[in-house]
Amino acid sequence: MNAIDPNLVQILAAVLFTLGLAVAATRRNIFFLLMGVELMLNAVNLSFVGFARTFAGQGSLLGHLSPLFIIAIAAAAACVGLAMVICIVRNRDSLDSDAYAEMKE
Amino acid sequence: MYPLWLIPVLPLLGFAVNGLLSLGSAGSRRGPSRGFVAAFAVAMPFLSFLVTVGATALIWNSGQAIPAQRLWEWLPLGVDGLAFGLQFDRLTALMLLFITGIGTLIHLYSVGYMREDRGFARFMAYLNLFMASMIILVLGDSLPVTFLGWEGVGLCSYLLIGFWHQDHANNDAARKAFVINRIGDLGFLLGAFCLWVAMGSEASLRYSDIAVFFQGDAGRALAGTPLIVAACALIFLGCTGKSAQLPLVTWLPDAMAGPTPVSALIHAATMVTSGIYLLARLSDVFVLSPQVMTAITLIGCATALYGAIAGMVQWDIKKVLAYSTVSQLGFMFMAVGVGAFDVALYHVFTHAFFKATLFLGAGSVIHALHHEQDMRRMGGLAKAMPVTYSSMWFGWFAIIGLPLGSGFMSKDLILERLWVAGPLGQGIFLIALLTALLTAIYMSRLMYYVFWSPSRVPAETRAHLHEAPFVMAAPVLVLGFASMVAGSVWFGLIERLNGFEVWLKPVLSAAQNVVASAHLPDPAAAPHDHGSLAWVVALCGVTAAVLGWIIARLLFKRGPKQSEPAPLAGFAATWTNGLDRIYDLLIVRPLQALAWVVARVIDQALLTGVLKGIGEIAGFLGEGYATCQRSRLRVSVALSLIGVVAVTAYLLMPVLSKAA
Amino acid sequence: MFADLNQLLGTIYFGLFAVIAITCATGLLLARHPIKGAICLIGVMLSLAGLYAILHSPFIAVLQVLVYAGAIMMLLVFVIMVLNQGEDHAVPRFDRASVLGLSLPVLLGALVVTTLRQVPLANDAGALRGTINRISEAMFTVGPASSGHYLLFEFGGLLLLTALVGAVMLAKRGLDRPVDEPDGPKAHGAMPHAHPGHADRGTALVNLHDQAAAGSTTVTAGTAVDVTTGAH
Repeated sequence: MNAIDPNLVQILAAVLFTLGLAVAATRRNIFFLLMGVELMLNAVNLSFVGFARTFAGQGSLLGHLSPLFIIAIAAAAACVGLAMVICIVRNRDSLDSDAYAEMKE
Repeated sequence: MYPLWLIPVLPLLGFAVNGLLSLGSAGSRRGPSRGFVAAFAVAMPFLSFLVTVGATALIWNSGQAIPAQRLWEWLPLGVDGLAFGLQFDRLTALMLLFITGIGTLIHLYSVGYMREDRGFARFMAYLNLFMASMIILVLGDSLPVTFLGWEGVGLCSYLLIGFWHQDHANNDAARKAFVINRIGDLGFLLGAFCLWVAMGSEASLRYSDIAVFFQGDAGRALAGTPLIVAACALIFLGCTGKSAQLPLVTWLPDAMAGPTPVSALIHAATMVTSGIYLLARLSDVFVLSPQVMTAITLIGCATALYGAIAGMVQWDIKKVLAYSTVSQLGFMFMAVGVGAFDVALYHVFTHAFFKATLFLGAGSVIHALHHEQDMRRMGGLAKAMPVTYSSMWFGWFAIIGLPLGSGFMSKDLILERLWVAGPLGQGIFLIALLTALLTAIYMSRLMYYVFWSPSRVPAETRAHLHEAPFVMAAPVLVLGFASMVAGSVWFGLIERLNGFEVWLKPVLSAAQNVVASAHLPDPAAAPHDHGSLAWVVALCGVTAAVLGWIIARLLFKRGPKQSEPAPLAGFAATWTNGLDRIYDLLIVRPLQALAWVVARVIDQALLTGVLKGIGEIAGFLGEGYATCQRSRLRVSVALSLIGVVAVTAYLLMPVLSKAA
Repeated sequence: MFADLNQLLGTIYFGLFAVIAITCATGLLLARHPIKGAICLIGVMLSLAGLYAILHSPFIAVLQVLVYAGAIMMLLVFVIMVLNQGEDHAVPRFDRASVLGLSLPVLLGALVVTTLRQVPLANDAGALRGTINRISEAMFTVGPASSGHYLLFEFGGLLLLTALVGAVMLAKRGLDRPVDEPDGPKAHGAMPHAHPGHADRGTALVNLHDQAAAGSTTVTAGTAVDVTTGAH
């Protein structure tokens, strides 16, 4: 179906991105931080795929390829991020990001 | 083309070979082969001497000079560049003959004196380098070449004074000599620059060009102009540095820290006379500024008196001779100041012989007494060291000015020229006569203390006392003999015995005529007075000499008293060290204060402060920024979001402004 | 209003998936329990997969389900469960510090939307469908026309390997600490474990370490899921 309005797709992506950013920037729990980041990445994927249909020929394939790599990168990020969460929790026994306020000093 | 270049190159070769040998054997305990070093080092100056004799023979009959030999293109100065050139005229011949001749003898002497020293090869290398530099100095055909030699002898003086460098006092003396020389060198350079500017479109630093220019009308017209006066004054400053005149005199007595052959060669016979040589070379320029000439006379007179008084209160035998050198150099400058360049050079010539004799003889004495230099512990050595004693006796005879000695010849000529040179000259004459008297006193004092008074030598040294070895005694004897006969080349009392004067006439007559015409309004009147004046002056000179000897005999025959009266010791110390203290106050302290200011204020406070301040500003800014940082993660994320939004808005501005 | 049935269906499906996605995202924003948040996120991902499908990108849609929702979120859920986090009522979800964090994303979104309205996009008729054939051709064909993206593919693999090793190193650290060193809740006579020098929470963490390693190995694009339980 090539009838979906690409503008709507982008607006949806923007909304999801906004929500993801809000989650990442406001929640105190570290897991929510990670999940907000994942949500943002998904929004970006959606944006790419949404653009794919506004180009012609080979150029449109970029819109289909990029999410592939983004997913891979998100996986790597999640993996490392979770390992760090484990480390952090081991140190402080708390998942509150504000509890680590002292570590910057 | 006569190989003039051999003359400096041979000692340079000696320097290179001996230097390499010295460097190469730096690790070994004994050092390189003494025999080889000695033979090579003595052979080089001797060969130079032979080449010089050959060159002199060439010009003896056949004209006045060997034409200047341009060796290679050197400096891009003037119209056609300044080449590195050598010239050999009568003045050069004169200087070179006694430089290489006496130099060879002193090299030979050094073989005996420095043989046991570990640094023997290094010593001979430096000595050869000095010979090469001195030769270049007098052989050069232009001011830059002479300056090359000028600097070279300064360097070698430094190297040789500080030869026994483990003793830091020697290093201080060497540095002092070098720095004071340097001040003079600055004068040399600035004077050369002034000369260049003064010569205008015909500017050249070659002596031949300078002579032609200043003997011509264009040059003569520049007489008395500020530029010429400045040039002469500055070059004379260089001469005071090199020849140890006031105010740059204090390095010479300290230079006695070097080995005695060094004192003999450098600080008596050759290097210190290069000032006179330069003045003679530039005589055509100097006669054009009477003010500077007067200044030269006055400074020479003051220095002569200063040296004579200082010589009377010294206990170190070498210091006595050092102040004596200062004093005799003052005589030479007095002669130059009244325009009697040839007489000054004559005194240079005779002084070289008798001063070298005295120094080398003193060296033999020091060597025999195992490096004892204090006259209070000498005495009665006449019988123990006959050859040395005879040689020194000749030297003493000459320097005092007893009749027919070489010093008598030259010193009386100087006195005569002083008298003739007008009222100022006559006043100077009296002071010079007084100085001659003092010279007689302190030199006789030396002779009494060392040779004629009862022995104060410690018993154990006295037991081993012996004459110096042949290789040392022979040069001293030769020089002593020469110091007696050297006066035969110009006997002022007999008109026809003036070979020396005639020899130098082509070089110096132009300048001397300028002076003569200034002093004697009636040239015709001169010859008549000349004969009787000469006899009167001679009588005055001899009287001074004999009187001085008698006074010395009365005071010093029995040797020094047990204890020196305190006022005398105080006076001696003040006179000797006074100048140094004045310099310390006037120059050294302000420089140290300036250095303190630079180090503390500028360096520490300002520069370091500025740098630290910059660093502290960075730190301050960083701390300021750090206060913006929030320790809570999400707060800092939120804050950075502000930036993101701002950048996005900025990037989208062109599009958004269409909406607004 | 709609050109034909296709367009109508397309718009309905789009609206459906969009609503689900936004709802789940809002749920993520407001959730207290991390597991609830994770479930919401999975919901978002699945609806996005649907969106990819109707946006002519079947490959990415499948990939999204398999990898993103299937592996990454599974890993996340594992970790949440292992760390045993329950609802946290003590910590408020939003406080004064959240003001900026809430308002700025909104501002950003508004900026983007406004821009979009100024420069509307349009579908291109010649756009290709993102099938596996085409994508693999685009990636791996090297020729005069294009140089392919296989290098990126390889680097992606390298990146994943690096992340794997990094995660292992990060999580493993601390397991080497000696047993007697105080660490968190005191040892209740912890039995010596086969694994040397692990901390008190060692068991769970050791398992977690292996799970993490194992979880990472599953995240390779396109390969079969291989869940290995504790390699101990």
